[in-house]
Amino acid sequence: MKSAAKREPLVQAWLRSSRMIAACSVIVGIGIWQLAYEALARTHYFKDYAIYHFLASPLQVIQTFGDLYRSGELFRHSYFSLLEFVYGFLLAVVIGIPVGFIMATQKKINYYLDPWVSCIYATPTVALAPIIMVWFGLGIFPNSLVVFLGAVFPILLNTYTGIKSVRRNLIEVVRAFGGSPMQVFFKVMIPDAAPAIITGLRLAVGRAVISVVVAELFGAEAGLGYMVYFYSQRFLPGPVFVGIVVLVIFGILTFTLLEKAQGWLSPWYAHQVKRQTHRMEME
Amino acid sequence: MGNFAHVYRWHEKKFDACLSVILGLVAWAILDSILINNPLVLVGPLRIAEAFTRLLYRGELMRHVYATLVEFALGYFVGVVIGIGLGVLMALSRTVKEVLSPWVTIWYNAPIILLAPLFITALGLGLASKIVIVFIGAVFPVLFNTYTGMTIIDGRLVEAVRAFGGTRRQIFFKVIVPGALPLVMTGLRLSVGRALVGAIVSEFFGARAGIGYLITAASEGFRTAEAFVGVVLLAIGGYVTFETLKYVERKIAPWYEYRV
Repeated sequence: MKSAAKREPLVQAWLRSSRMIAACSVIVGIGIWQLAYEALARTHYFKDYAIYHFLASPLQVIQTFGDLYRSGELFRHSYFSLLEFVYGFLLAVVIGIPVGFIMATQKKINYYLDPWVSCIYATPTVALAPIIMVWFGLGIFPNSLVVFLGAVFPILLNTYTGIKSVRRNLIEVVRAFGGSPMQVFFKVMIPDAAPAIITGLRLAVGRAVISVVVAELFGAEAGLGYMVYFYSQRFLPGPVFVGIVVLVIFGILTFTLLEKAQGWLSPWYAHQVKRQTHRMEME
Repeated sequence: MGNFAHVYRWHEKKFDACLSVILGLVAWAILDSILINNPLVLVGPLRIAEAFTRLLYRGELMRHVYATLVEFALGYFVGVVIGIGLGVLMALSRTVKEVLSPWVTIWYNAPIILLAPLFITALGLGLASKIVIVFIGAVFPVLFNTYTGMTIIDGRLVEAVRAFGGTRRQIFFKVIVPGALPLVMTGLRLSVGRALVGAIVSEFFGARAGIGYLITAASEGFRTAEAFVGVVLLAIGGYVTFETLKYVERKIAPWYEYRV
């Protein structure tokens, strides 16, 4: 007689893992999207409503992706967007981290800068995009500036929090054993604040991607945002979805990469920080 | 004088903040009116104040603020209700969580703004398209934080209630809801920013009124001062909402430690 424990499970364990379920969920979801599109496009009401002007099916998206890829258009636009992203983001890192550090260590400067920082942080900086366009015109530089404005504040504030929460006793130990200020900085402050700073970078990635897109929607000669706007004004939804898919993949990749970097730079911190910074990541 | 120094030291942060704002505005005004003096390039605080009163008297300002407020409030409200609902469902049921989580990740990372032109072609220039965009922006931070708040609850508390004969209902209302509340509030606070961006950007593309519309219309007409009125209003609105929610958070859960 077979015991209950020995009976083969109905579904294999590897099929029940969350990765499998996630993959199935995505595939089934895309399938539903395709079927719903086919069904809707055939109904009288939606045919009159011209649904194909603002919704594309997954198959059409793939087809459009192929077309854009072959014509080199996708590459050109992605290249410009990437350039703006990299310039703006690097500028944000170069300015955000030192300013955050200074604010954390110099009390007086913190008191003076704090009202400005918290006020601009609360402003949706994309609202400045039209004004920046009036000032600097079209092109890579003004768009990078919008990216910079979007990305700098999460980096600055997280650097500030990170440096502020460096454990005092560690600094005192290094000092007591005759460590120079440089040593305190490089051996204690930077490693102890690194996880928080990287969390700031991760938050900034999301904001920077949105800023790239918004800046390009406004004024650009190339870029994914420009591509999306161009085609959506011509009632062609395919490229719009291609643009979104490319940006989603880019966003998730960068996010995971920085997560990996966090584990690699400060392995002793990884799981501790995961709990602590969970809220901060949810922005 | 010694008394003043004492008061100053006591409230040093507030004094310095006020001083910094005043100095900043004065420097800005001097730079604007003496050094550069070109209303197209730089607009000082005086010009912005002037444009503000002008728009206010014409009644235009109220119209724009009202339009944005309605879009924001409706989209945000629907986003909060659905976000909390789905977050609770995901926390309670493993299946729901595993089926939904890849989609939540994808949508959360997607620059929803790109859909704005499509929503406007589909739903028109009016309120509907904006509400949808604000909704999509607002829903995910609330959802994520509700889910996290409900899952990081200390298991010992649940066990203690159970050991003393608490029902499932009691566990839910006496432990899980109060425990998750601070994080839910954080979610509400974080989604304000995203919802505001959604409202503004959707107005950039096509609208008849709203702060985003004011900004684009003004900057396309090279009336930079008026565009800045919109930006300043947004800054004040964002700051006030953010601080109010932070205050409410502290009132609801004073034991909770805040970081952002």
